[in-house]
Amino acid sequence: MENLPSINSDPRENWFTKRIKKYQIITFTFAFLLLYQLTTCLIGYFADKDLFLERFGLNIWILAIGIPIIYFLQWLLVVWVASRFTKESLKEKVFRHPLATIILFILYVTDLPYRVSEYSAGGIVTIFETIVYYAFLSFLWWLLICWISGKIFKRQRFQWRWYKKAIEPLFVFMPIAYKIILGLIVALILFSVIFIILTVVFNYSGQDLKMLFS
Amino acid sequence: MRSIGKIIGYLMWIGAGILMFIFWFLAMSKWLGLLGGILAFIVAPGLVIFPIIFWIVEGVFPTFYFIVWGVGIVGLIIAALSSSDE
Repeated sequence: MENLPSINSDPRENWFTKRIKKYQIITFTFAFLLLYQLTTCLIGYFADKDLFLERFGLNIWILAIGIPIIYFLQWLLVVWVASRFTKESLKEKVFRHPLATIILFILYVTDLPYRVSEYSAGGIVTIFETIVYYAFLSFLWWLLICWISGKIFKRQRFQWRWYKKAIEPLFVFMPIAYKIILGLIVALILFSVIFIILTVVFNYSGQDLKMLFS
Repeated sequence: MRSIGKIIGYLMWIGAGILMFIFWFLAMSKWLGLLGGILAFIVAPGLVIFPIIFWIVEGVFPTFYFIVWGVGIVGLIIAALSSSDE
């Protein structure tokens, strides 16, 4: 229990504010995905109501309320799992279970193209969501396997120097890579949205580009 | 959150800059050929000089250039707000 990350903040702050401040990137990811899903859902509904109801067979209010509830529950679960580990305790676990880590990683990577083709709608955000979603599910499976393995084997069986050398930079590189990829996707979406809004506001017809390419 | 705000803001600013440069490069190449393409890398478009020239030469106001510029400024505001929190 003493290895659990502490959430030090103002005692007057409520439970949610503390966790939002502590896990900002997780909260930002969920907020972005929720906003994206809600927006695409509402655009789909207002673009063609009959087709939307025929395809999904649900009342729009069920979706409009259901989507935020699902994302909120997912956020709660992810934040709870994140609160159980520190970076160091997680690294220790990865070092202690090299075989489980390698096998689960290979399974995740080989299964990912199939998952992406099956579940993502083709957009960059849904592909990102599928990758992150299955990464988290694989992480939970990995935790379970590590727990079972820890119960069966009391002492560490395998210890490879190359494995340690590969894991150390991964722990430095992964958070940065995640921030950059998420930032890139959000920037791309935000860029497109502002561009579309401005083209509507200024009644842009693309005449200057036509002249440029003529 | 601040770091991701800065990443988003600067990426939008850089993206807008690249698009504005492509617009400038294409216009220069169209007007002056290979020499224009080379000059596009050396000479800066200026704040409003290039859009005015484009407007006069092509007879169309370069709205795309200003829209992309506006998006870039929004990106810069996001980056500045993220930096000022530190």
